[in-house]
Amino acid sequence: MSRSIFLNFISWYYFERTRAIIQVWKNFLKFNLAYFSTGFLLKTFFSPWRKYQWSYGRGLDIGRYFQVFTSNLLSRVMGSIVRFFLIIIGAIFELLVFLLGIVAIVSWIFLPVILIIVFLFGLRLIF
Amino acid sequence: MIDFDLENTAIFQNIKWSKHPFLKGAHFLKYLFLILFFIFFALFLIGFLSSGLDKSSLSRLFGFSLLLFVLFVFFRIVNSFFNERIIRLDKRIKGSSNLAEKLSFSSASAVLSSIRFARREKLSHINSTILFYFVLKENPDLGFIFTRALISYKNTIKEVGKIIKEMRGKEKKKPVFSEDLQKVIEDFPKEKQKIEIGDILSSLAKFDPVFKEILIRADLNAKDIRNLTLWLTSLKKQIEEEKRWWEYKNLLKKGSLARDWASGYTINMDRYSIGWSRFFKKRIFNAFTGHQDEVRKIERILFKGEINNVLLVGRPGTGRKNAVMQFAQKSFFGESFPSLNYKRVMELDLSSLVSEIKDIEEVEAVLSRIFSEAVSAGNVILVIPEIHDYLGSEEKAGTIDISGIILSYLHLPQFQVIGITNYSGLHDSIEKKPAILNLFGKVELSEISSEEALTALEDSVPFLEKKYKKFISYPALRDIVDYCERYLSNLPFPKKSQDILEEAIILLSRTKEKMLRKEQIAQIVSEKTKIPVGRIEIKEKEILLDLENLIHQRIINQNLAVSEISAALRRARSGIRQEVKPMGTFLFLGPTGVGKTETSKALAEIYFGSEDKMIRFDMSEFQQTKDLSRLIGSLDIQGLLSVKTRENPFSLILLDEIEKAHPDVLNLFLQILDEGTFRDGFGRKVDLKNTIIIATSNAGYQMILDAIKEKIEWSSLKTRILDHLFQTGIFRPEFVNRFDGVVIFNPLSKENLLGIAELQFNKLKKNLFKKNIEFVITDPLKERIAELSYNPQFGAREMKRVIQNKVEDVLAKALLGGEIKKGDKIKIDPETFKIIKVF
Repeated sequence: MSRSIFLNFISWYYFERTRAIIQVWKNFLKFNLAYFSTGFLLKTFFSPWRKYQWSYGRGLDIGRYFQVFTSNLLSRVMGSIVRFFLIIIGAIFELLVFLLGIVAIVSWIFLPVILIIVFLFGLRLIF
Repeated sequence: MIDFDLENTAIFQNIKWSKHPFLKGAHFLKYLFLILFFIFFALFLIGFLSSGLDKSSLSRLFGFSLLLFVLFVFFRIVNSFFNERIIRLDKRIKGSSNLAEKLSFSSASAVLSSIRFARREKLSHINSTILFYFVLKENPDLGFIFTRALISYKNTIKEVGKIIKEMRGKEKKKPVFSEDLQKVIEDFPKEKQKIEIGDILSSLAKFDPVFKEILIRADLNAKDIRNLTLWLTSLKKQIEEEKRWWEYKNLLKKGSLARDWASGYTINMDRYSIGWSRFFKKRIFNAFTGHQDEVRKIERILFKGEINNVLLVGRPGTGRKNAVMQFAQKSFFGESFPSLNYKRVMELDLSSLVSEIKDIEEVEAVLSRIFSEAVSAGNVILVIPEIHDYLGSEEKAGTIDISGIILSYLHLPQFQVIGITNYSGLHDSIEKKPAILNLFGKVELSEISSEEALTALEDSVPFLEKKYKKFISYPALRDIVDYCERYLSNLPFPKKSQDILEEAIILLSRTKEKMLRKEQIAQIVSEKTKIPVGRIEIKEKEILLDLENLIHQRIINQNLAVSEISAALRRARSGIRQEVKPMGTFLFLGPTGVGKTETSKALAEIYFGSEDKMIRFDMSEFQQTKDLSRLIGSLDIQGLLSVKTRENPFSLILLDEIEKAHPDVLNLFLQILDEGTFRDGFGRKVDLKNTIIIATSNAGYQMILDAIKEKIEWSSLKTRILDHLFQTGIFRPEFVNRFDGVVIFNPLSKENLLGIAELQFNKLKKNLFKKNIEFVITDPLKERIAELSYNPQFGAREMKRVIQNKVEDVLAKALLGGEIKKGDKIKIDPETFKIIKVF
């Protein structure tokens, strides 16, 4: 019985549980992108800020055309600057999540060894 | 013999492992080591910071802390292994016919405990009661079911435990399953992959005699246990899902940033509309019951390129707004189509716009700005409740016709609208504007089922209990749905049931009682519908048992008719009738003036409380096909029968002179007599299950009169009359056969007329008594009146007129002329009809 339950434990620990942790890691990576709307911001990177746009109007008026063009361009530039910062913040968090995930998975795999080492260290401190 | 062998299943090994103290104790040990770790670590910290301990003591304390922490982590892992691998085993031997293979861990564990108990006690059979005991004992979760059902969980375990502990045997062979336990096993749901403990409990409720007895005592049945099990399962699932916060779906509930950076500002729209996203953020709405198909339809239409506006049509109270909210929630959490996810679903508050701005032109200008903001924002879906009020050609107070403005936006793909309307709004307003109608995809919302309504009530229980600090029992919820279905069938689910629950809990909150019980529900429904629902009250019981005598206080003769009606009503109220039919249906045959209508009136008064509860139709007014619409209604007119019975669902319907009605009208009643319902001109179901229907006819009365003259035996008369009616085509056999009883009313004899005269004079006596005048009824007066009014053809109908002419007129004149005054005692001379004072 004990041998069979031990094998069961090993398969649960190293396959099922590790797979579950990887799944959680994936969830966080995916969620982080969704939370910071990274894909959406990239897609609308050069869109005018809050749809602020001016009409060129009828007839050819170079001065007016230039003025409207500048305003519209500014709106787009402003939008892309704000988006850029949020994308960067999102990317930093994504990196953090990525690294934390790796740490978690490695720790999980080596947890039995770590526990034994800590246990022995504890014993040494006592005796 | 059923194929059920627990020892040859994959789960069996796990149950054996689960009994191992190391695995079993892991849950306790992890907490023990965690607490010890905190204590030791705290001591270490105190010692370290206060410098009160020497180095070696500190090092030892730290060493202990480390050991305890390692042990905590170790047992935490072991406990997870136990919960995830041992208990939640999903490994099954595929294709096995062994029914035990489907058992969940807790189900298998209860079965195994039962088997072991039977072996230990040397029983020849393992019966369902033993299983019932172990199911209860090993699954404290089931306490929820019992508490909600108002049954004591602990006492039940004790009671069942006592029964099984008395079981002793001397059998040396392996015990076998008893017949009732085999039935329980055979009843396990075949379609399910895993038989959970709730499934076993539901089957036990059907077949275990002890459990059945407990349920009978609590006025419950197996279906209730099934419902409670489903409630518990859904709650557990909800809690389990919420606990798993790391799941992608749960993480998404945190929302997202910057979704509206590419969308325009909507200043005017924000002012006159309500955004729903805050409700979802605060998790005010969590679960929605029913209408999944309709929500999918809404999503498909909004997703489509061409017509991407939705017209949601449904009766008010069917949960139209809830369906839209369900869609809005999906969009908010990004669970819909990609192009519909993260949209702002805004409810446009047109009524506040109209009431705030008086000038119509200004309203139109603001509305136009709102619509263009919605277009330029590009991420808005506008919800317009009761949209028909704003698309009508007629000007109504508090409304405005927005057809012109909205029409220019509706075809734009960036402008998406969900209009909510009802059927009459659709027919009367929107269908008259095909240009607008064509830009909407129609979604019809049906009423949710009574099962779904019960689930919806259950979902609202935690919120209501928290708000009002009261406990809501399951029988109260069940009866709400049951009564709503039976007595409020003209209103739709879920609103009617939600309203009653809310009303009940508000009333309860004003009292000191802590629990909402079914009796309170019965009281509320009775007050609402004027139908005496629930347990038959003592007074009603007395009425039912004494019905014959009560009717005979008003009706002379007609013993047979009265006893047939009384018996039918007793059947109806004691709950043994067929629920699909009206409470009682009778065809009264007999000459005019023999008491057919009077019997009906008496019945309405005695049983339904007032003569006003009688809805009377003169069927001679329905002699043509077109008259049918007057009865059931059409798009233009309200139906007399449908409206009156909706207003008074608990009433007596009297169909006078039924033989004169058109065959199409009779066909309608053919259905009513059979099913207790019909559909009105709008296609809505009208329920007549709580009515007594009495049709009267004097067709064939001549045969009755002849029979009296020729002294033909009464028992054969009914058959002869019916044969005559069928042969002459007055009624069809299938029509007459649908009545619960065909009752022949006897013509009245002179003796009967004397009795009727007495009744009539008693009424007069009562009226005079109020004026302090005593009226003495003499036999000669009664005889004289009976003599003057006797006419076999018109029965007692003449009597009222004769009494009016001969007696009441004389009394009236005397009263006005001061001939008689307060304190007088009078009688009437039967010959001259003059007043004689008695001293």
